[in-house]
Amino acid sequence: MMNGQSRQNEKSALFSEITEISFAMDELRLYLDTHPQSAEALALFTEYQDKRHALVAEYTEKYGAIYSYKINTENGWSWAAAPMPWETEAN
Amino acid sequence: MWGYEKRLQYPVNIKNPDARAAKVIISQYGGPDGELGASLRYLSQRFAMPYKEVSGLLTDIGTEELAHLEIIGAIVYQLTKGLDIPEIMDSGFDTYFVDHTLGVYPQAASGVPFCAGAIASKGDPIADLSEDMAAEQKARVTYDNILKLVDDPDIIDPIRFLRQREIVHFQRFGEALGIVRDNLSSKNYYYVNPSFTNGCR
Repeated sequence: MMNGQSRQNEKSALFSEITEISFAMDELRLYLDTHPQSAEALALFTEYQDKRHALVAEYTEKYGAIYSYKINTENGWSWAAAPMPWETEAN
Repeated sequence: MWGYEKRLQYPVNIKNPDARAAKVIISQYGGPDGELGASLRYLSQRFAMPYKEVSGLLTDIGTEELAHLEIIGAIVYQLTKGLDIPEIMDSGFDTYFVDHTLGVYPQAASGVPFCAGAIASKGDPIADLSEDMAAEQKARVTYDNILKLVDDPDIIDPIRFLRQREIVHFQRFGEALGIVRDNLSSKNYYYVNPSFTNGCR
């Protein structure tokens, strides 16, 4: 059984992973816009896209929604549950 | 259409409020070279951009600028959270406070409200992309200036990230300008607007 602190740490670590992989994709997306023939960038984007999909699904299931088109509704409307991203507790 | 992700593109975690820093950083929210202008510039220009790769790039960079607007808003919010009246008066934040309290408002550091006059959408791919490259450099200089005015590592870290993005965007817009040139007809050596060819003589 996980205590509160280690649950919080695991949540932060997963959230950081999502932030990092999303940024890598933001950077690759712009690069691919002007270098669509780059096989290396394309392979990286594909790899990160798959990884990110799994990470966001895991986060959403365990801790609540990040994305406005993927909101858990089994226990009612949960979109407001997590803190807004400008609060320090969300970072 | 946009979806919303409930996360910042880069984390902001400021432990010590600093109204003086907020007063200058707000310029990147609604000032002449700020993130609001950047997003509106690119998202407006893309409609008249005749090349799909480039209108796609304008969409992607314009979208990222909205995320940067949110980062700057988060910085200003955290820098002013919990301030009391003596702190507001001593920091010079009183001139902002009197109009907006602790609400985040798009204005320049000088107090001038956001003005669309600071952006351009000329309807000509070469003019617009040249404007965009200059805009990225101007925003980079503003971040350089902010970095000269703040010393808290919690502020410096996200500001450095944003500064770095200006450099990457400048690079990508330069490549986009190359794509536009490659698409021009070999007869168009005077770079006549390829977005509007009706009545050309």
